[in-house]
Formats: sequence, C-alpha cells, structure tokens
Amino acid sequence: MRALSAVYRRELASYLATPTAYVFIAVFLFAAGAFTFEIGDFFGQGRADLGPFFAAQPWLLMVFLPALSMRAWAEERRAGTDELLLTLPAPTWSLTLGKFLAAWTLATLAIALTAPLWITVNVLGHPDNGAIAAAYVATVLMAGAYVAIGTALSAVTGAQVVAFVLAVLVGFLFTALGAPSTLSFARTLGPNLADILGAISILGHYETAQRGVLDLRALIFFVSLIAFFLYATAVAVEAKRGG
Amino acid sequence: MNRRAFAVTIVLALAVAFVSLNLIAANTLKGARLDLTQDRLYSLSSGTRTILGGLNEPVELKLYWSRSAAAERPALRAYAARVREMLQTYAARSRDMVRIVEVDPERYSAAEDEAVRAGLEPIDRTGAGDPIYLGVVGSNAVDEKVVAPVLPPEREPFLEYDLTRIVSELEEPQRLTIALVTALPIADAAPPYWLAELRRAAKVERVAPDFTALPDDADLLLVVHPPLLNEAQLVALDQFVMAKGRAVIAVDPAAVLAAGATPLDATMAPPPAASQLDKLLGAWGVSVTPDIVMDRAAALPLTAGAPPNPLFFEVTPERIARDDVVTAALRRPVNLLAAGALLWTPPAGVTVTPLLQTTRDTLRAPPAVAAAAPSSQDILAAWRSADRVETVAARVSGALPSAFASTAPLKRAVSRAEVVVLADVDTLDDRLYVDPRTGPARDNASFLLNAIDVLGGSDELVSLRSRAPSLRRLSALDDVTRAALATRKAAQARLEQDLATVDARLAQLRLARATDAEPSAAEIAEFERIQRRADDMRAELRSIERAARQEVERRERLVVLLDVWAPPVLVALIGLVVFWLRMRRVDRKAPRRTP
Repeated sequence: MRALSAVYRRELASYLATPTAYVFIAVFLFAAGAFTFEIGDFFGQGRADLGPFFAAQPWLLMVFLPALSMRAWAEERRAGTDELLLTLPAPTWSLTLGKFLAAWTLATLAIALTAPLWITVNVLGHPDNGAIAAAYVATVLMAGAYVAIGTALSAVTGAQVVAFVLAVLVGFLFTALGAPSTLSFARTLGPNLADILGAISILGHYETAQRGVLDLRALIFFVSLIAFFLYATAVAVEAKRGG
Repeated sequence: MNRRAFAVTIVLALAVAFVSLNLIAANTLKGARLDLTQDRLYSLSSGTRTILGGLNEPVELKLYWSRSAAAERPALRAYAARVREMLQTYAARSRDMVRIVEVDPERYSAAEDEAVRAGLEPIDRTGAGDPIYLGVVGSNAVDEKVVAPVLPPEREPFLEYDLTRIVSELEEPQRLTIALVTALPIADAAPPYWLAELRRAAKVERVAPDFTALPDDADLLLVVHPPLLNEAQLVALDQFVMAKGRAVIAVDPAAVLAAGATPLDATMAPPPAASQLDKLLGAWGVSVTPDIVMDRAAALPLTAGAPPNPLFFEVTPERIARDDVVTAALRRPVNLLAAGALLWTPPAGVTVTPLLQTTRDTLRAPPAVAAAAPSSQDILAAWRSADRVETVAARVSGALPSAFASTAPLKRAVSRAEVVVLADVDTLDDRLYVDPRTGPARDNASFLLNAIDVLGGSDELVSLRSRAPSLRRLSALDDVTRAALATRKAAQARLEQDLATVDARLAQLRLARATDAEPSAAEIAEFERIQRRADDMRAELRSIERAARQEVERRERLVVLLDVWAPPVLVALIGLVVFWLRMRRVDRKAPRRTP
C-alpha cells in the first residue's frame, strides 16, 4: 500500500509539474464547451439538461484521455527511468495501479472542472440534478475505462505516439461497437451478434446513465473493462521486469 | 512456453472472461438499476409491475422509430430515447417475458410498409420531408397485435399508460360487455353517433325498462338518462358497482332535447325531462345540482346566426383535465346544454377529480328556465355572474361505499371502483356535435367513449395515473422571450390604437385638402408631423423586438463566456503560474551548481 501511495503521488506530481496536464485540461474544457454549445445546439434545444454535453463525452474522452495516459509507461522508457523503476522493491500491481489512478485522478479533475455547465443549467432552469449526477458518475467510470486502455497500450508499445494512436483505435472500437448504426448492421448478421456487441460496448452502457439510470450491468462492464486492461498492463510490465 | 507467449495466453484468456462476464451480466442482471431521476421517470408504477409480473406468454414490443428521418429533430430524438429507455425498463422488469425490437422504417423500405400495415401514423403529417414514425406494435405468441399508432411527446404523461395498455391487452384480449340503462328512445336502426361507435368496439346490452337484474357478463355499467328506478333496480345498480367497480353515469336536471323526443311507439312512456341517481351518488358523497348551470363566457349560439346563449356552452380544451387519462386525448371542445353542476364531499378513501369545468362567468338557474328556452338577450339582461367555476363531469375513484349497506348482501367486492359522472345528457344528442356531412365536430362522444375505454381496462391499468414529463426547459431564457413578447404585444396594441387615431386624422386632413383648394401651412405641418409620428411608432415596435433579441443574446454570450472560455483560460493561467514558479526555482538553484 505504501508503494502504491508513493507511485500515485510521484505520478500525479510529475503530471502537474509539466505544462502537458494544464494544456490537456484546458483544451478538453474548451472542446467540451464548444461541443455542448455549438454542435449540441444547447440554446436551440432550450432544454434544462446537459444532454448535448454528455452525448459528446464518449467521443471527446476517447481522443483526449490517450493523450494523457500515453506517457504513463512510454515516458519512463524515453527518459530511461523505466529500468530504475522496475528494480524498485515495489510490486508490479502497485506500479500499475498507481500510474492508472494518477491519470484517472487527472481525468476526473478535468471532468469536474466542467461543473460551471451544471451551475448554468440550474441558473437558467430547473434541471433534474439526480439525472445529471448519475451521468457524471458514469462519465467518470467511462473515463477510467479509456485511461486503463491508454496505460495498457503505453506499457505494451513503449513509444508515446504509437501508444496514443493504438489507444484511440482500441477506444474507438469499444465505443463504436454500441453505435446504433453498428448494432443495426450487426442485427442483419444475426440477432445474437448485436446483443454481444451491445454487452461489451461503452456507448451502450453509457447511454442509459446519460438519462439518469445507473445500471448494475454498466457498473460491472466499466469495472471489468478497467480490471482487464490493468491486468494486461501488469502482464506487460511483468514481462519487461522478467525479460 | 516462453514468458511472452505465456503473457499473451493469460491476456487472451482474460479477454474471453471479460466478454463472458458481461454477456452473463447482460442476460441475468436485467432490472438491477438505480433510477436517480427526480421524478422516477424510469421506475414503473405498481400497476405496471403487477401486469408484467403476471405475464404468462412472451410479448414482443416493436418500436418503430424513424431515427434517420428525425436526424434534424433533436427534441423528438430525445423523446424517442425516453420511449426506448422506458421499453427497456419494461423488458428488464418482465422476467424475460417482454422482448424489445427496434426498427427504423425508412422511406420506401419494407419496414415502412410493415409499419403502415400495422396501422402506424406519422408523428406530424404536416411536416415536409420523410414521414417520422414513433409508435409501438405489440404482438404475442399467437400473433395477435395491439398497436399504439403514434406516441407524441405531448402525451408523455401517459407514456406508461399507453405501453402498459398494449401489454395488458395482449395478455387478456377481451371484448368489453356493457350494460346500458337508459330512458332515451333509441331505435336500433338509427342509433345516436356515440352508441354506433360504442357498438363497434364493445358488446352493448341494453336492459329492459322493467329490469330486475343486470346482465351477469357485463363488465361496465353505462347509465344515460335513466328512467325513474325503483328500489330493487337501484340495488341492482349499486351491487353492480360494488361487484365490478366500473360505471359511467350521465344524468341531467334538464334534458332539453331528450324531453322533446317522441317515443318509438305509442305504448312507451316519453323520456323524462330530468334524470337523477341521487341515492347512489349520495352514498359516494357526490350530488348533481337540481339547478342548471349557464356559462356566459363560453356561450354558443343555439341556432346559426343567433347570439350566443349561456344555456348552451362549450368546455374548451383548457378547461378539460389534461392530467387524467380519461380526458387527456380530447383536443376539441365539448358542448353542453343546460347541464347540471357536480358537488362533492366524498367520504374517506374516495377521491373526486373534475374532468370538465366551466369558466368563472357562470350562473345557476332553476331547470324551468331551460324548458322555457329564453332568448340570450333575456338571460344576459338579468345576468349576475356567480364568479364560480362549476364542474360538469368528474371521475370518482376509490373505495365507494354501498348506498344499501344495511340491506344489500354485497358490501364491496372490488377494493377500488372507478366511476365517471357527467351532469348533462343533451351533450350526447347528435344535434349538439355531429355535422351530418363531416361527422363529429366536437369531442362530446369522444369524452364518453374514452371514459368507457379507460374504465374498461384492468384494475392495474386503470390505477395508472399521469406522470411528470421529462422535458425541462431553460425557463430563464424562455421568461425573457415571453416577457419581451408581452411587452411587444402591449406596445403593439397601444401603437395600433395610436396609429388608428393618426390614420383617422390623416384621412380628415386629406378630406380637407380635397375640398379646400390650397391646404394651409398649419395643415401641411400637422400632416407631416402625424406622418413622422406614424414612422416613429413603427420604429419603436422594431426596437422593442430588437431589444428582446439582444437581451437573450446577451445572456447567451455571457453563458458561453463563463462556460466555454473562462474554465480553460483559468486552467491555462494556473499552468503558466506553476510553470513560472518552477522555472524560477530552477534558476535560483542553477548558479549554486555552476562555479
């Protein structure tokens, strides 16, 4: 546990010490706002909810979070600190989890900084705050999934740009599997295929939560997705330690 | 196996485990969900849960939703998502008995043909572009179908009712049997419009005037202008309501049109001029006034071209209960003639919900007034408004007590009865609402038919009430627009009045110029002044509109500034400060390291 906490604090500090994290958060906040007001046509719809904001989140986070998580392991290799890190008397799981939690914390911070939108809808109308809270919880979980994918690919490839591209690709696959067009195409191939794709897609599980319903299946999906990619990260790191 | 191959194998095994876990969860954990919406939008009422829990056969609900055609309709898309989510909630709560299928009936596709064949209707027929469908077709194992042809967003309070009704009717497809008690002379060959319509949907058994019992198989009692009933007949009606709990009752202190009707043959008594069911209604805490109600503000002309007569008035949709499923679908007014008013002081466990109400500009009068048929001038000359909203139809629900509790054998068999009471019989006369060429012009018959339709449903279905809508507006911005509109309207009215005066003065001046050879300098000056004033007024109107738009835009800009620009700029600034502080620290350390 001490090792986990040390790794977590070291990672978080290193994120905040470089301009990258600030640039990342600033651009994400701007994009989230622009998606809500410009593409989502917030004022045109006139609804006191954050529907346009949450609808854009899977696609935004899918691209932004790999930019954050790509450095988790690849940066160590570039700076040549990976060998030192791996020889430390810290178990692999604490290294993996520490790095993941630090990146997830930063992602959560970025999401939390969109709170002015929540305040705005409360000033301009009487939104369903229960539904918005549920959607935020699901957004944070979804962010965890993208971060886990990103850190895993950062550990596997060891090169930041490659890690970024692969993480966006894998994130896109998990997201687009649940898109209505994918599912209706899958249904023509076989009804079971659509069910399978729906069960392992980020979009499908996030959709219900966007409207204020937290489904146990969505919780299991996001947690198991995070666990799977963290385990894959640990396997990759372990392979480097041993090899 | 080397280390790398082992690692890959482990990860692959885990991937399989991940997919399996989620597939199992998807199939076994349906319904394990937390509805965090404030109005519990995605939680089902106990009536629906009972129906879903009692399903014996699988039911398929096919949602027809024109997703691609509605790409440009975000509000409709949001509502369709609400419908889809609701359907999924049904599936989740049904122990796999309800299956949901979604189809996009694109233009000229086989799916569209299928939708049209099933009876689906486009959501708005006026709109240009491809038709947009949002409806549900339910079918059961023997391919019986029940259709909700269209689910318009404005009917959202009744979404649960509409969906549950499909499931309920598929489970128990039944034709309603209605026992009709009436003193109206109805010829079988030429029934009134409402009865002809009712016979299409239900089996109507008219009971003889000297009946001693109601048909055993009847599900619902319909009383329309009853004759004077003896004690045994009243007991029969009372016992029916106790046993079956469903009745629609129309009585009238002054049945003007019925009283003038001739009996079908000479042996029959003419219909009475008034009808009542005071004994039964009294037990439920409801009474119909012996006086009739007149409504001046909603008065209609008795004959074409005549001035409006308060004896004959309409209940417009604003005064029809919107939150009760009996009347929610009514879009046109209901016409009434010399109606009575309903009063109530219900006992514990009984609730009375007004369905049709008058304006405040009402007056009660003895029934003889209606029989005398005074002219509207006479009525209006003596008008002293009671300033009271009167209820002419209401829904009485709950544990209705028996009017013969001490003598009748059956106290109460149903826990909850539902009765609709209407204090006018003339309203069902074709002459009041049916155009011989085009059919019904008002919703008089629809009121009765809807009431029967709703009350004919199972206990669980009838127990469903309207739900809070999910749409919440940006009311602050709407308020600005509305206030601006009101200001504009007021200004417009004022300016139009001014303009009329100005125009009149201009006309006067023009007339003067036509008669006089040469207008005086003073007249020319006034003419020009007035014309300038007219121009100024128009400019003022435009500026009010502009100001309103600017106010909304100003608020929108402020929101965009605070939500889109301020947070990233702030974060960037913090980043700069942190970076600058770090640089300074590095700079300060640097000289010490270099000799």
